[in-house]
Amino acid sequence: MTQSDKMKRREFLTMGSSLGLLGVAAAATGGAVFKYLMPVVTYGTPKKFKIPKSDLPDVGDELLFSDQKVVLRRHSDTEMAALSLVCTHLGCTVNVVETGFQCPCHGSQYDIKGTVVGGPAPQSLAWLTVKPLPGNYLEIDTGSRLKENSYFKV
Amino acid sequence: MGMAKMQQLKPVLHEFGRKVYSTVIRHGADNTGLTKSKIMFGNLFLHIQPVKVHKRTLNFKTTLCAGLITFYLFLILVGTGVLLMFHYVPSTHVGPDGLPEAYQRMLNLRSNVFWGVFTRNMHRWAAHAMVAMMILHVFRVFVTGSYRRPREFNWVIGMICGILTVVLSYTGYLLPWDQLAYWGVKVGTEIAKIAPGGEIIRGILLGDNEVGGEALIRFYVLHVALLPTLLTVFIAIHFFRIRKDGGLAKPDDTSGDKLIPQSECGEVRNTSVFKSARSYQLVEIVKGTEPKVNEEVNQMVFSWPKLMVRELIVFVLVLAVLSVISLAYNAPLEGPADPAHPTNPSKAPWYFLGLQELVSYHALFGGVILPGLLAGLLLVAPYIEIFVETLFGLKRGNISGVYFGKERLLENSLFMTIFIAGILFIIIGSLFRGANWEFVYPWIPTPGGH
Repeated sequence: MTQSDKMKRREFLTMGSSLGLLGVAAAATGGAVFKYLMPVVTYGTPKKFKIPKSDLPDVGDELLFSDQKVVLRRHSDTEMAALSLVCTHLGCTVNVVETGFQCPCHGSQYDIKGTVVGGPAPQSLAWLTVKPLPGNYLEIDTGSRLKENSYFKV
Repeated sequence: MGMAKMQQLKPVLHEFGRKVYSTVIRHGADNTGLTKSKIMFGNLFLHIQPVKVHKRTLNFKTTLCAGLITFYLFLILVGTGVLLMFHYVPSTHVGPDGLPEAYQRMLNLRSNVFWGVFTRNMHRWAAHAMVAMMILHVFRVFVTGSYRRPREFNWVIGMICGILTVVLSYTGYLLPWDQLAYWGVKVGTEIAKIAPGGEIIRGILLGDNEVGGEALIRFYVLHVALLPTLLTVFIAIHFFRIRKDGGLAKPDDTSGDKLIPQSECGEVRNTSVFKSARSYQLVEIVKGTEPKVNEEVNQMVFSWPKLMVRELIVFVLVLAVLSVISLAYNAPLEGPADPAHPTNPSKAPWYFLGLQELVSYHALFGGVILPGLLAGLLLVAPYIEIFVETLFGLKRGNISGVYFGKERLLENSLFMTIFIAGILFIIIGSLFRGANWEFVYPWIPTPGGH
């Protein structure tokens, strides 16, 4: 092969360094765009919400919070619990039915205590942390996940 | 002004008009091969197609027109989509009527905008049809083995177009901000969450940790700007490569094919001094092989006007059928998005119902692993074939262009199995699933369902 058939040294260096610089610029831009697009704040419903103790349901009753997707249950005079209504399969909101909970999206079924009894759900519904706040308030953390039968003193 | 002056002016005006015309259209109006060629390659929009095509190309059976119709539907979607943009606001802000603005705009199309419903119907039905025709096109290309050498890479480009088509549909149906929109995207992005690296994809798609106003803006930008641009570029590459790879795939021997008779191909006047020469046939030289001087040459016809007329007829038919459907059936619009109450059952559009059915067995396997694997295999199908042929030293030559050719029995059997299974899953998901995703028979009405 003669010299002229190959890419000349100078051409190679020019092309190589130009492409290299362009690559660096592309990588930097890509990283910046990624940071630009990744969310840093949420506009959604806050994870924690509080209710006055006087709002608690009577013993044996339950109270539904649609926006927060939580059901509150009064177990006894002194005990209550909060269950998440977010299906553990793919995040649809489950419906409260007589036998427990049912998900309309892919047919997951839970019993009264949120244990899976049918459908594709991989785990039971989350029982949530309830924390008393000063001034007769309760704070419910929808981001928490406790084991079954996690009751809290009122 | 006197008549004489007018008479004087007439030839001047005629000459001027002729000159203006020739600045725009540079070919004559005769039926010589030169003019027929010039019409094709002198026009930006036509020159993506060859001057001459094989007669097989003109047969409906060869392509089922699936790819062409998919492209036409894309054009119609761009047209109706731009019109819809004039009346749409991607906002979840709740207005004085208690409805999110995006949803209110759907009602506005329905009640106030002149032919607003029709425009939306056409956009929605064209979107459904585009996915269907795209699937039919993939089917045709596979079972005829048309992705074999030298068209392997164009199959990959085509698959990217197909994926973009589905993603465009997916981003599009969030925009009305109704129940279907909300729960479709909610479930879709939950599936993304369980995929590896899914949290990042989900974060970038939603711009938040749940589906809300930020997600609507992002899906809107993807739907109206980024994805259509990408799809346009990939369609251009796809079409360009069809040319460069020598047109549609065809078997070596086409003498047995039923082709349109020569008498119907139109007379071509030869004004060349070389009366016996077919010099224009050198135009057919594309990559590699020299033009064949045998019966093949006689099976080539000028694209103008035979192919062009056929393409025009298909476009008119697509428009007509779509218009009738859009007049007769309204695009669905459910209640405004309500994160607290999914509809029961909550179903995705038909092309995702197979996936929804799979997901109802197992989220990770049905929603990520199986569809990912199938899409991956389909994407590189031609290369799998090359690999297997190399591995076993198979030399199969040109076996493209024939439906269900017996040389490709194995490939076609595998493909048909997956294809039919996919259709079955879609049918089960569409018709045999009722409230709470329970198995129902469509012919037995369920009390209190939907």
